[in-house]
Amino acid sequence: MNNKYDEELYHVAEETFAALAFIMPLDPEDETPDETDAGIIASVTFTGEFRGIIFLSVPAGLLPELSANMLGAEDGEEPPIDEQHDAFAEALNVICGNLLPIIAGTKAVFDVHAPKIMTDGRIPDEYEQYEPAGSATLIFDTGKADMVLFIDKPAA
Amino acid sequence: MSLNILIVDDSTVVRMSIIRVLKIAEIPLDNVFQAANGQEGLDVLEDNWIDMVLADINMPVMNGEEMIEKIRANPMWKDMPILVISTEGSKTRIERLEQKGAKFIHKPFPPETIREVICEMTGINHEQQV
Repeated sequence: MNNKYDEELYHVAEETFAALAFIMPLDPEDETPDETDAGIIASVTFTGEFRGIIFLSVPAGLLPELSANMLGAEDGEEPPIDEQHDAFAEALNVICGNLLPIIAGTKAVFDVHAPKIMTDGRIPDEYEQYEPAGSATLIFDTGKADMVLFIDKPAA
Repeated sequence: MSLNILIVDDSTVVRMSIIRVLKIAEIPLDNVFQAANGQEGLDVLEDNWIDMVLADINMPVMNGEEMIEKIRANPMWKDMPILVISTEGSKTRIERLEQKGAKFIHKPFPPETIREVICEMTGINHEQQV
């Protein structure tokens, strides 16, 4: 895809995973995304200067590492599933919060709403008709993480 | 001197990770209290001696900004050190919080940042603690 904010979304997500959980993506030019793990999806909506939604899907295998690193868990200790989901939601919250001033400027005021975990693992069909404002894919050891940003579209 | 700190954030993982960062930063802690929203934070303040509040902005029930206004409106807490830890990127909103006497740290943040800010806000001399 080649949307207006692809690059911004990629860099914010890359920095978020690295800073929050010390998880670095692999070089997309050297790696082929793993298509086998549908994983888990979360969404976060925002309102303000404009409104929109970001979807983030990650391989389910990423969540134990993400949450364990954010919590500083001992080696091999896997946080319970609710904490894994909470960590996943926080990662998306940080991505959204850091992306908005980049695309809207620092004077714009937004309310970022609580991220929601979507257990059915897919973006709602209604979004197929809209053109994303940004999309990006990070490739990790456990599979790929996909992000899609829609602006001025109804929230899920 | 050890601090009684109140952490107000709707995410359990964020609260736990802030506690972890406080320990990594070697902030001397006595009791750490937790609340999931601004109203719960005010309830904890009513019942406990708190030296400093660390709070998010976007929370259900009562957001961080409203909680800060209520804290400042209470003569007992008007000088309470308040540190907002948030992904907030709007200078407009950050300036509004600073006008209410809160300091701001942007998420994600390194432990050194939180140590410096807390030492500055509470007067704790970090060198004396280690």
